[in-house]
Parts: sequence; structure tokens; C-alpha cells
Amino acid sequence: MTGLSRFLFILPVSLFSLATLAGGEEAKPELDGFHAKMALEFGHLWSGENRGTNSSRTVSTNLDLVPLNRNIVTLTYQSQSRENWNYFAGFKGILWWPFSTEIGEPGSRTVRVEPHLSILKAQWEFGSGLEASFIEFGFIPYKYNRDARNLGEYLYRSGTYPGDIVTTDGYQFMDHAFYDAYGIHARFNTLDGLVTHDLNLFTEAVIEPIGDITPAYELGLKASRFELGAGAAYNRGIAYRPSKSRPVDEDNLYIEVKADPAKGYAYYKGPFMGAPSEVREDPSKPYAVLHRWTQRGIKLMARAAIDLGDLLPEDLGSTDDLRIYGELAVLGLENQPYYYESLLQRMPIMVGINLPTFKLLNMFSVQAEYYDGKFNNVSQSDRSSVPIWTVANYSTRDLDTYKPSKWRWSLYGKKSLNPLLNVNFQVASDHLRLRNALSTRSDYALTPNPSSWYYLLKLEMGI
Amino acid sequence: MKPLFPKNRLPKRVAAMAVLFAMSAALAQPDGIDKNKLIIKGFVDFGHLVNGYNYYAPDDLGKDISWLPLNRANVLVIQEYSAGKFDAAFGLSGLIWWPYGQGKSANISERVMQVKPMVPVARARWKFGEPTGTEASLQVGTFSYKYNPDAKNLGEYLYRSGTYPGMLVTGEGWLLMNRAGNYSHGALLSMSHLGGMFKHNVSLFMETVYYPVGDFSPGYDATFTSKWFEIGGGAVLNHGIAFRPSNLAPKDPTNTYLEIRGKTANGADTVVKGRADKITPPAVPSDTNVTYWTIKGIKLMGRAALNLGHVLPEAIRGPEDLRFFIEAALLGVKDYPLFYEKKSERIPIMAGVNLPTFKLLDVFSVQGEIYKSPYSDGTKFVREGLPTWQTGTVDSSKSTADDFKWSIYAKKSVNKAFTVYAQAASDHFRLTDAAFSTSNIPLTNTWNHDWYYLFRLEFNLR
Repeated sequence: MTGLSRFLFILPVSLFSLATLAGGEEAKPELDGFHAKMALEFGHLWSGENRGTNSSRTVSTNLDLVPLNRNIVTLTYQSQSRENWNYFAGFKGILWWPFSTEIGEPGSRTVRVEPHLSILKAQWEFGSGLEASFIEFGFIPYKYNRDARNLGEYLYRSGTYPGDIVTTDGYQFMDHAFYDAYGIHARFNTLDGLVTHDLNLFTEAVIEPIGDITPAYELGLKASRFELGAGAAYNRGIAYRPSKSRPVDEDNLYIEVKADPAKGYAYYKGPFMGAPSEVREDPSKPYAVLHRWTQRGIKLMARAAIDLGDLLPEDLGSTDDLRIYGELAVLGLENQPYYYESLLQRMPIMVGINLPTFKLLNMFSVQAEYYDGKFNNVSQSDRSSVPIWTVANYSTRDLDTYKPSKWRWSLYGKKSLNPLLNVNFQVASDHLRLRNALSTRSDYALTPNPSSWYYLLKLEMGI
Repeated sequence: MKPLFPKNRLPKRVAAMAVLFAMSAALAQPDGIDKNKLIIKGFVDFGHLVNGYNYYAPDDLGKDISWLPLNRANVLVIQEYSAGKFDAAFGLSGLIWWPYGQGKSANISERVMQVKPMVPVARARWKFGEPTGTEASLQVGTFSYKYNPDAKNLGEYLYRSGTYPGMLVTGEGWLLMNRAGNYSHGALLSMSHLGGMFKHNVSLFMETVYYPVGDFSPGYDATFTSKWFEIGGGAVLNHGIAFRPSNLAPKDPTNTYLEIRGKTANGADTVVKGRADKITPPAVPSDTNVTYWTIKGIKLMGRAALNLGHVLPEAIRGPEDLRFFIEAALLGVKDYPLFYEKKSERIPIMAGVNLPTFKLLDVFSVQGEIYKSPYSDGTKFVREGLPTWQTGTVDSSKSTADDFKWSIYAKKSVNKAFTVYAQAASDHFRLTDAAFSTSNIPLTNTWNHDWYYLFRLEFNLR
């Protein structure tokens, strides 16, 4: 066994050993609770645009007033065995409509239900009081930044190469600013809860190669008036077949072609797919491969929040009022040619504030984001698992026809009418992407500039 | 940069819908849960399409589809609770089904057993008023809406049938029995007066299946019920609230009807009429009338029932015995050339009776239907979103074989946990393929030849 193989073998063994801690005569789970929840969502993409690549050009379709309705039913069981093991299992059905810009076959647009797990985890608690900690594993809705109502929460749900920022999975648009993690999460509370450490091993669930593991660490500091956090995730740091993270596909080659007047070749340096067709089709391969892009990379995150809510009179303030916060990330520490040449273009920054509404709402969050990424098309990344942005015109990087917006914004409000019923709303120009009948995401974000936006209203009820 | 609020859109309509949605929440002020019920149910269907015909069958499958198995199994979990004047019901279900219509050469995943997740209900409701006087409720979400209790299979035209074209529906291709209602997504305001004798409903349901998805159809229906009879009526403005009205009446040649007056090359007066892509204009046109067919239209419905069950001795009488009923609808008030020239061809009429079985069964319903539409192929509408019929596949203008439908339905509750159903019918039977496309022509299109039967065992587990 190589060192890596040994390590990869240790992982499942450790997981199994952890599970055996739950064994013993007293381990029979006791039913603790059944929870049922329903969300009715109504809304429209008020002003939007769908861009797609057609041959060597991008085409645009107007998407104004596309309905964004969803009904989501969630059924969850929670149980406990001994005093320190908790189990959660939940199932979710999302009533949705596939996204399509054409009339198409009925199956491409009619109502359907997407089955999802909402949670499936076992959690082992240890320690006590303010230093109570836990280890959990399974399918975990994971969230580290409680202020990220829509924008932000970059560390896990955003890509590395390419640094695709995610605010929806295409099925759920609200209250989904978390990462659907599959793996292990350990939380250690120290210094009476002042400092937290989170260790994560999450597996890749969407983009090939599936199953690679991303180790991550987060440090949190929480005081009465402020909160600080920072973290790092080594995307696909534990890869079972590392060669797959750096595919040998032609569209993943960065090449150099020496000038050859005899063949009529001019000097060229850039993506293989952007080279002249006679070079690409020349069986003698008259080029040198300088680089192959990789999915593997380090993401960094830092966040801060200051809580000024106690400046408000107690009878006029809600829990998170007047909280000012920000989050910054680096989506790939290492530069790679062409697509990833500037670190500043891989740094999304989110800032926000929870405005006081004098108890009219429980929360009213205003968020803005700055991201100077020059690309937005995830077609090849999503469909071919190649770690590049999709470009139609390599010489201009499509910037002659498309200038991604640097700014995004989001308003989020929540009102609990009673313990059974909440009303939420969201108005945003974020990274909205919808899914078609084959579950493929739209290539570009559908709200490509700050004046394109959508709204959603949600009734949420449950017991 | 585009303006934040485009002027040529429908901000008022959208704002009104959003306000209605938000206001519905503000009505609920429950203090705590009064009732809490978890329903777990399952059923198993067994049956066959005894005789049937698929006009669009792949070559390697054959158009004769006799003895096609119609088996299904379903498990559903529904949580209900009420708190004061507020109540909610929502659940999930899984249906075992078999995709239909794929040939032998199709990928096996398009033919083998599949499980379809479903949301059978997800709705919230607020009640107002007093049960002894005027009572009302407003519900929003996804729920099955049924206005005609006598329509066990045929009928229930107002919401689930089309307008232009007037496609009749008795099933969506997955669940094959007990589907004589409209799987509705939207809002319903129900009011009841005179201790329940007079009921009426204002509906705002969203189009969920046919293009353009997302439009809303405002509707109204009313029912007056007495001991001996029941009458009802209603109207729906199909796609009345359209977010992109141009999608309802596409201006392409296949959806354009032209009537062109002019002169031939010889100088004679002539009138050329027909679909724009099918006609040749006169050599010298002088005057042209243009008509675009549209999906938008008004549907009307009237129904009546005569309840003679009271003449039977109470000891041998089932609750729905000896009830005679009828329902008729006009699927599109306005005439349009070519496909929709006669109202009589857009009026389906269903009539039936619940025969007494002397308590052997809970219900034994016999229904018949007449619908003299010369067309029955919905391909143009279903697949291309055009408000026209497909012609040429099945030339029913020369035949009345598809003008009549029939259905026999029976139900027997064995005990609280176990109910048996049976249905035999030649109705508007459609099945769904692996790509979720439903048959464009009913598979039982010939009333005196094509039919199916189904048995259902239903278990209430909780």
C-alpha cells in the first residue's frame, strides 16, 4: 500500500469505528420527534436574460416574468440513543417546473417533483456546558455563516477552478444558503465557547471525479459584540485518482505553437480550443502543452460581524437587528493561465446589514457582493467536468459581447406570525441559475446585471 | 442598463398576485395546534388495457396495444393539522409505474419500473364565518379540487379540460383511478350560505402542464343543494392572467388563418381561405382578414343531479344510490375559423346514474359521454403549444367512433383500513412515457372496441 492508499483506507475504518461508539445494549434508538414542514413559494424572475453558446457566439433570450414557483414538503425524524447520540433522517419533495426557453416536449416544462434528502446524519456529542462539542457524519446541511441569508457562504458551495459562485441549487431559491455536505464534520468548542474549531471532510457530490474529499478547517471567535471567522478548504485535497482532477481532454490543454511559415502557422499561446483549426487538426500535434488546468486548489475564507443591536431600545429590536457583516473568499489561491491569471478576479466580497424594522419583521437583511470574475459560463465545467470556464471567442474572452456584472444584491425578510407560520420574502439579483428537465443548470447566471432581478414570497408552516 | 421596472410588463397583475399571496398569510393567527393527524396510505392497482390503439407507437412496438398491463402501486404520507381557524395538509408520495410507449429498441431505463415522487397535497387554509350561517375559507398551495361529486371518472370539465383545443382529460397518465378532479396549484376562496345549501368558489389556478406554464385562470363555480336535487354552474377564463400574452396566440403561419379576397390571374373574383402555411394567395389580393387562434378563452359549465335515493328503503340504501346526474360544458365561447366553427362541437355532455346495489357496494356509478368534436389529436397543442388540433392522424370527422365514451365505477369499503375499487371504461385514457410526455390521442379512442379495467386495493395504515 502506498501512503495515500493507506490514508484512504483509514478513512472508512475511522468512520466505522466512530459508528461503533453508538453500540451497546442501550443503543436502541428512541423515537424523539417527527417534524413536518411545508413551504409554498410564489415569485417571478422579473427581469432576466438567458445566455447560451451557439457555435462561436453567445445568444441571448429575454426571460422577463418567468415563474419561479415551488412547493416544498419536508418530513424529518429525529431520535436519540444513550444521552450523547442523535440521529436525523429527513426526506424532501420539491414541486418544481423545469426551465426552458423553448416550447419543447411536454416533459421539458410540465410540473414535476424532485426527491431530496434534507438530512441524514448521526451526531455524537461530547464535552459539556459551553464547551460541548460534537462529531457528525452523513448528509449534512452545513452552514458556517449565519449572516449569509443569500449571498456569501463561499467556502464550500462555491467552486475553485472555475470559481463559480452559487446561491441556489436550481430547485430551491430561498433559505438555502448552505452547503449540502456529505461527509464528516467535527465541532470543538473551547475557552467557554469563545473559540470554535471546525474540521470537515466533505466528499465531492456533483462534478467528476465524484467522491474526492475536501479537507477543511475553520476557526471562529465569538464575543458579545462581534464575531470573527476564517477557514481554508483544500478542494479535492484527497483524491482517489488524482489524474482525474487534471483531465487530459483537448479542451483542458494550454498550448504554445511556434511560428512555422512553411505550414502557415503563426505563433500562438493559449487554450487549445482557441488555436487555429489547422493546428488543432494537424495529426503531428505541432504544439507544446504548457499546462493542464486542475480542479484541485485551496480556497480561503474570512468573515466578520459586529452586533450593534443592543444600541436599540430592547422593546423595539429583534434578535439580529443592526448586525453588520462581511465575508471574503479566495476561490483558488494559485494562478493558472488564461482563466485564472489574477487573484483579485477570484475574490468575492459580501457585505451586509440587518436593518432594524422595529419588530415589524423578525429580520430584514440587505446584502451586496462584489466579484470581479471575468467569466460566467459553466457549461463545460458542469457537463464535461473540465476545470475551465466556457468561452466562445478565445481571443476576446467573450468580453466584447458579455461583461459580467461585478455587483450583486439581495434583500431578505422574515416574519414569524406564530410558532406555526412564517412569511419570508427575497428580492435579489444574485447568481440565479435554473435547471432544465435533465437537471442541467443554465450556463450563465440568469440575472446578469444589477437591474435584472427576481422576487419570491414564501409561506412556511410546520409542526 | 435596463430600467428596474420595465413599463411594458404587467406589474399590476404580478403585484396583485403577490399581495394576495402575502395577505393570505396575515389571516392566520393560531395560538396552538388543536388537531394533528398523520395519514399513511397505500394502494395497489391491477388491470389491463383490454383493447387499445396507439396512433403514435414506434414501428417496433405496433399500434395495437391490446392487453397492455396497467399496474401501479402507491404509498403516501400526509401530515394534517389545525390550529384555530387555520389548517394545513401536506405530504409526499411515491408511485411505482411503468413508462409507456417506448419500442423494443429503447433504452431499458425507459421501459422498466420506475418510482415517481409526488406531492399529493401541500396547502394551507383559513376559515371564516359560522358553520350555521355564512362560512368561507381561503386555501393556497397545491391541492385536488373537485366541484362535481358525481363525476367518478367522466365529467369535471370546467378546470381540467382544455379550451382551444378542447381536449378532454380523465387522467394524467400516472394515477389511473379516482382522478376526476383538478390537481390545482393556486388559490381557492370557498363560501357557503344557508347552512351549506348554497356554495360557491372563486378560483385562481395556475397552468402547470401545458404551454405557457405559469399563467393563471380565474374561475367561479356555484352549487345549490337540496334533499332531492343539486344544480351547479361555473365559468373559467382560461389563461386570463397571462404574463406573456403573445405566447397564447403565436403569430406564425401554422397558427394563422387567412381569408384573402382578390382576383385570379384571369381577372376573376376569388376568395382564398385557410391556414397561412397551406394556402396560395390570389394573384391579385385586395383584402385580407387575419385570425390567430388563441389558447385564451372562456369555458362554461352547467350540471344537475336528481337524488331519488330517498325513495329506497333506508335499510338497503347506499348514500349515493339512485342519483341521476348530468354535466355539460362549453369549451370556448367564441368561435374561430376552421377548428372551432361550431359551438355544438365544443360541448361535451356527461350523464350517469348511481345504480342501487342494496348495500353490496358503497357506489356503483355508470356514466356515458357524448362529445361531437371532429378532432381528437392534441399533438399541436401538447407538443408545440399551439391552440389548434392536429389533423391527418386520425380522421374522426368521418367517424363517430370517438364521439361516445363510457365508464363504470364501483367502490366498497370493507372496513376502516381497507377499501376496494373497480373501474372499467372507454374514456380519454392516456399514459405517460419516460420523458413525461402523455399520449396525444386517447388510447381508447373507439368507444365500442377499446376499453380497460382496473382493480384497486387501498389500505389506510394510520
